Amino acid sequence: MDKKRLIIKGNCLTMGEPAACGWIAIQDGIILQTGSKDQWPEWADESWEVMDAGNDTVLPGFIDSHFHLVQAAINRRSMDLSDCTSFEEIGQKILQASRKNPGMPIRGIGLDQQKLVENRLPTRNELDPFCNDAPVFLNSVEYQKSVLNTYALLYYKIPFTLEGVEFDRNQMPTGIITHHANSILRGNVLRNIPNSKRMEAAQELLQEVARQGITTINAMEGGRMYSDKDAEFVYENIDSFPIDVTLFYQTMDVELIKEMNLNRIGGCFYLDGTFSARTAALSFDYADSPGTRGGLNFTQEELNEFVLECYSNKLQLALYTIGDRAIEQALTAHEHALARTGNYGLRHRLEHVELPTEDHLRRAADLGLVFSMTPAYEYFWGGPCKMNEKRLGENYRLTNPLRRILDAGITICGGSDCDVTPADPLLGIHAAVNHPVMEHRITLMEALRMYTINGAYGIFEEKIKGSLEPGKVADIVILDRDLTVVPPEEIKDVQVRAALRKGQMLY
Amino acid sequence: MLQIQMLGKFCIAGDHIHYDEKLSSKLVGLLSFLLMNSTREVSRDKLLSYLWPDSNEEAAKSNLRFNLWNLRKIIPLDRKGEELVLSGKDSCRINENYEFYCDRLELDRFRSCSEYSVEELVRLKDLFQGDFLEGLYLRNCNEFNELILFERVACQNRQVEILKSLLEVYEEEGRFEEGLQVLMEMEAIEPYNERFAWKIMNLYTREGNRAAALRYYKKFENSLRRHLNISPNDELKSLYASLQEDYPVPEQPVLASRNKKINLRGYGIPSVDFFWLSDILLQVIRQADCSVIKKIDDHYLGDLAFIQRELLRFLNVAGDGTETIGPVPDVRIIQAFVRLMEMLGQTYQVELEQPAIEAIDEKSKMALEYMKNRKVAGVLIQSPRES
Repeated sequence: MDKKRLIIKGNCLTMGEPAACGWIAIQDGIILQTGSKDQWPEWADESWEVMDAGNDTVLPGFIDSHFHLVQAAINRRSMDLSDCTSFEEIGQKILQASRKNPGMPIRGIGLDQQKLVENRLPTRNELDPFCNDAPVFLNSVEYQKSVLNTYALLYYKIPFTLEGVEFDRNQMPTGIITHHANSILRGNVLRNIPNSKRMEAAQELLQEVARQGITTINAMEGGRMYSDKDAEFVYENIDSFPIDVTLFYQTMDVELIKEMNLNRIGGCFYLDGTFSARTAALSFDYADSPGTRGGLNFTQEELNEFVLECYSNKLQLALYTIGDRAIEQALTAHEHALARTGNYGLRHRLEHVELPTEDHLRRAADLGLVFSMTPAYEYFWGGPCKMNEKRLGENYRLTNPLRRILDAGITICGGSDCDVTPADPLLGIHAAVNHPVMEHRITLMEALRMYTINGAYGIFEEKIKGSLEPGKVADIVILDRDLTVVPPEEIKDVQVRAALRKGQMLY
Repeated sequence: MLQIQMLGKFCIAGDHIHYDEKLSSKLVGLLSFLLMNSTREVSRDKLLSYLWPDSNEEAAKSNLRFNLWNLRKIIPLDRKGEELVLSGKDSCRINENYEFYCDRLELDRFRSCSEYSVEELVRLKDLFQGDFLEGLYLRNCNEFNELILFERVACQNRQVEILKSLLEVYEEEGRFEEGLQVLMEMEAIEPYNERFAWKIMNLYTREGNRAAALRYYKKFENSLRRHLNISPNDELKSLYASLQEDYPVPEQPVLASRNKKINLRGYGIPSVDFFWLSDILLQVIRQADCSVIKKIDDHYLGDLAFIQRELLRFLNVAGDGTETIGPVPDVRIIQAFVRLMEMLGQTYQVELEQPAIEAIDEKSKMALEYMKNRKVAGVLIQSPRES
């Protein structure tokens, strides 16, 4: 039998009924009972391990509703090039990596051409002096381009006749790979990573994630720009992770999903792109690129067909939408499918959904859609003088309108899109409460619900987790402060003191 | 005769002996370099600069001498007593009198503007066993590695040229099946090439196999979507649409399951109406393709869904999967069941195991009797098993 634990002296925000309690009794991984601070459980004897929460906030374990587990784990072991401003800096990082692990492949991520003084990507001839005896594979931000050294060009077997292999004046490959060739290259590289490495990397990452109080993640895996092997890996090892992992396989292959006995499909299923690359589909011009409005990756007809197939097979579907045109397209497809099948209640999700209009909100509420959002985007890129304003002009004020979404009756579950933003629910909560556009701010309780009970609702698990109520799994987080008295601007500084999963100490 | 392979992993063999196993990477590099310059003398200085650029001169010369000596030791003389490599004071070269075959040298003779027979083109195509000097990379020998890269690009271009030439010949001669095989090889090199895809569909159509063309399009479309998140270009879409007008494609390739057997064995509870029938329906759902089940009219499926809820997912029903099908008269259930069996019998070989008659309910018995009377094609009702 599992340990019996009693958490006492907590300011427990249950996210259920009653809204608060003072102690929680846990047995066999389940919350046995809760009670107010004045009402001590008489039956708690020495056999109970007591944890004193010190009047700090106790919450249900956090649920991160949008997380790229395998890629984040692999990226964590890669070189971070996001702060490099010159080829020399890139080269020094490569040199350090090659000295640390001689002969091993070197992977770098986050290479931003716009930050480089040279204002272009380095070629293989510029990388070779730093490492010429191991493959060097550098990814640009958003993974649209790659740069290889000469060794890697020979090692990774790219067909040079493919579209996207760049050549110099002497008809020699420069090492810069884009488009179709980049897709194949990424596929080759990711497929060659053995599952043992995936597992090592994932276990390391999840230990860190647990320290942030996250006890459940929705893992968006596979598909374009990732690797289906990631999804298969998560599927095969779903019970081996230290926290709960719910798989969202990013594929259009409904038959495969059914064969795998999965109830859901999609995730980062890109209907459009991003603000930063100016590929999110907007109904207005990008402020810094007049005439550019981004693009949709599907025709309405194609999307209608796929969404209908999901409805017919009663699969919960998650679609990635950033711009308003993408949201419009998604809603139209859902309306089409619902009218044909009448299959309501599947809690289909829109991921990110950053620029919804009032009409979109009304229709989404009617459709019963769930919004899976990343408030931390606002922390990093929202508000005046940041990337959103640069791209959208005054329309930056319209992004992530959390208040309006909640007021429309739509459930929002919170995520990090790790590793686009850090896996840090308190940062997400902070960003939601401190939204740079005041009218979009939500209350602390509403923000907490996003990362707890709403997250559970988003995956049909609200009856078993997401709140501190008897009968639910004892996924619990103890913070180092009382959140209800912390000034809103300090929420992100609150730390997790302890985390339990099914009553067992995780951190 | 000595056989040397460079279009793939380097291999050198003769009389069933593989000499490459005895060659170091540097020696492979040396021999490859000489072969790439097989028609001329190569100065020792050049060899040193390519293969030992980071050694001092004396060490490099010593290494070259040693490797040449090793080469002579490993590679035997030919029948005439000739050596493969001739080395003089200042230069070395491949001995043109030595009897050997090298795939790379044969490829060098290919000129895309020349006319070749099918057999010659096939032979050239089959030379490619992998990338040029696959897996070879000499540390710190930047010029040599650059040369490999250059040759690899050139060889890949040649490979595509040869394949294109072969395809042209097959098309001219109306040999579509062989042309398709060549296109598949081209597709393996460039999997998202829409021109190739168009040609594949075109050849299937010219071969009279429109169904294959349509299926190929769906497969290609899925691949583009899966890996590049794009849909096929307008040209391909138009071709697909024009083929569809003449030949509507089934949702799934039903032909693939035509001879598939499904065995239906249900469990009965005599006191529960339609229990055995319901269990048979569950077996059908588990074994038959969804597309086949969906072919039956909704009203038949709806009637059957009254006794087997799993069928609800094939229906356009309102509500959250709860009962929206009202009570259905027995006659409709039985007729719907027989209709379903008729439809399955068109696609599969259905073996329906008849249970012991006392083991099932009365209503399922009536359905079974009715089926026997109708003698449904494609459905074999097997006698109960002896206990």
